[in-house]
Amino acid sequence: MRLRKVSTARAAGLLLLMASVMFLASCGSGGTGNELALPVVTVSPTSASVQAGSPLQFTATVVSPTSTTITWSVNGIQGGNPTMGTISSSGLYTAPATVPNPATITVKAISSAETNPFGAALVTITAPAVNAAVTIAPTDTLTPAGTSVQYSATVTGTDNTAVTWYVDGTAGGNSTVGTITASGLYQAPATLPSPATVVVTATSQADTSQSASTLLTLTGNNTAPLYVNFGSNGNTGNPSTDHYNGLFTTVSVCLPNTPQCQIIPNILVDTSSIGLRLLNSALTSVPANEFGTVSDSAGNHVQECVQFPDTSYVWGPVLIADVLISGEKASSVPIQVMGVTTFPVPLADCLSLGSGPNLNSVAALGANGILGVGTSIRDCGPNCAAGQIFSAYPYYICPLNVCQPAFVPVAQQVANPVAFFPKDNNGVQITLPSIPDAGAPSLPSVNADGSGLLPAGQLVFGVGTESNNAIGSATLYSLDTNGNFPQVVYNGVTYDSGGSIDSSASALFLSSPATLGVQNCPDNPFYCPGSPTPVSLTTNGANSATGTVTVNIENADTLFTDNPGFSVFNNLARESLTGLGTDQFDLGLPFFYGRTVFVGIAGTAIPNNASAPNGYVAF
Amino acid sequence: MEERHGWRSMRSFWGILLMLIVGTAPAWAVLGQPESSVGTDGQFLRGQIRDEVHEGYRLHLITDPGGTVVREYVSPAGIVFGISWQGPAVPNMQQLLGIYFTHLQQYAQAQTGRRGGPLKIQKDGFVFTSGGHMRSYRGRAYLPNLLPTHVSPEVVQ
Repeated sequence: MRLRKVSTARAAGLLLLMASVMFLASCGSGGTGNELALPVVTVSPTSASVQAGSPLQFTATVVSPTSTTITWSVNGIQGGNPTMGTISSSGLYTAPATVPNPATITVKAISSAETNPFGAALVTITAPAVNAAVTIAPTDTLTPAGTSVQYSATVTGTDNTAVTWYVDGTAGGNSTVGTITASGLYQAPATLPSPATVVVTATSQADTSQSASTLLTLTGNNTAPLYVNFGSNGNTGNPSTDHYNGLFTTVSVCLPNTPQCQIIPNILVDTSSIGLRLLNSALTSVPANEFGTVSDSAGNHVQECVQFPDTSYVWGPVLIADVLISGEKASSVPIQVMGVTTFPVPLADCLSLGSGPNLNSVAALGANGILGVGTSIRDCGPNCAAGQIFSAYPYYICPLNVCQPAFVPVAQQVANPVAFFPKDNNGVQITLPSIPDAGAPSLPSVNADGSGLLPAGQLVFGVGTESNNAIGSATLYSLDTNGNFPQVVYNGVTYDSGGSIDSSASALFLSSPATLGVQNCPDNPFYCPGSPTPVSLTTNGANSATGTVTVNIENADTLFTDNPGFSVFNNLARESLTGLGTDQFDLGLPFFYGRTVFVGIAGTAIPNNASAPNGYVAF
Repeated sequence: MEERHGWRSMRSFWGILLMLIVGTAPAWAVLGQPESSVGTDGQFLRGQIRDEVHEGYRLHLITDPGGTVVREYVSPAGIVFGISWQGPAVPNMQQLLGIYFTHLQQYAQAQTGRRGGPLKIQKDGFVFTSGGHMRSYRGRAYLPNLLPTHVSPEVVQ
């Protein structure tokens, strides 16, 4: 006679207990007395593991014709106790809250008045599962070199909330990437590491598989971080409208000559426009009406209508602010605040091109502002200071609420703030890391486990003014009077329509599909070649400099489908201004990845004694 | 090589040329309209005008006080089939495009969320491109259906 394995389910166990009693009773009547001497109570399961604090159901099977009375014990104590765990009269064992020592206990089901009156099971109590989850704060921030950041980690799912801190994978960090204490105080190194983005990680000590990482980008005296992402509107999943390759930095604006400042992130960095333009909605702690104003002799405040080449436009007053970026400060420079609705847009006069979207909101702009760091000091220049008013004239005054064009002295026109830094004021250097051809989610970005860092880029102020902005072996291209390369050569054809670099453009704007031998995507404005298509351009400067730019066109549909959520691509291309011999190349942000690009301001100190009356670019 | 008649009978050569008038242009023609449909005021483009006769079309060049050059392309039938502009500012599109300005607005505003780089619209018999950067704009608009025979759209540049 063998004992039968029974279900651990209580109801089923009881049924089986009864059935077993009946079965054995009937067997017993025709069997031998020896069989009745076998163990008469067994326990199922006979061995088990259970987490501290968790329940476990036991079932006793009685093979006695004479007794079905069962009592339960734990390590010999009837009903158990809190240290060993408790067990109910129906066999429901509840493990103790903490693991006992030793961790294995014995559960017995005891029957009365039989030769072998009990069955037993061994139970090992294990530590409770750690559902630890770690979060870290602050996330993805920036700090100047030499300063400190207090981090905190929140651990849930376990009583042990202790964490170990790492910088770039090294517990406690080191002098190069910065150190971090057991309490999460990060101390940045005095000099910028390379890359200037570090990964700070907190790992749960209760469960070392659980950690959280965040990125910290360090800024230098003349170095601001450059982020690439979808911008304020995020990823909507619509390639026709999403802002791929959006280049952003953080600026501070202050009421002039005061410490009243506001840090404003998500500012577009634009090499094809001039001046800082902030959305009024972003100015929360330093209201626009507290900035200095630019007025004519009658006290009329100057307004500006700016039209962008893609027909979008902005409108708002010219105001005076202190502009701080990294460790640089431009004092009392004219900026534009967009979306102040004191006066309506003078549509008939101003908006000759502005037939497209009004960008006076975060939703339309996808950013809090635009930092124009192109090749001029002012956004208009002498044409707006005297002479004749022309079509699409930008500056206005609005006496009696009627806006009309007005001349504005050059010194009061919206200005490239870089040109007004006390030093490092002759241009900028934009450095972005190389990225995989498949793209990247954003810059900076890192895998969940803290590996695979793609650092932030760097916006370095000055050219040849510091140890970190030497032009080195870069080719300096003086620009023509239109601010362009005078010629661009593709496939043996010289285009006198030239071209330019443009950090505000999401794609490489190139020749037509027919010229390049590629196809348009069926459902978005980018190119979808059958295979990756390299394009080699010869760029000529007005100073006889010449060089070759090689970019790559990948199938945009493939990129978007294979990499949902990615905003960073080095191979998005679409059609520019084209026509027989008139192609104008606009090398957008994909051109910048893996390069260091200098943008020199006309009228400032030019490196290497080069002649660049209209400014220059160098790479 | 072909004898053609502009405002004045004139022998012309391919790709060229003749300065006919230098003076102040009080107004200009409107895209898709007869050359005679000049606007009535000179408020928007007080420019210097220069006329040229080319193979298959006539060209008016206007330079405004801001230094922007506007080119207007007129078919032998006297219809403005294309315009282009280049310079530090943008000419008045509403004036230059006439009824096609609403096309431009409609299509341009549909490009929500667009940022950076040039704009190209090619719809409903209307082609429009605009590009460049601050202080240097360039663009053109033309009507493919109104191009004179044997004239390529690339002449509008």
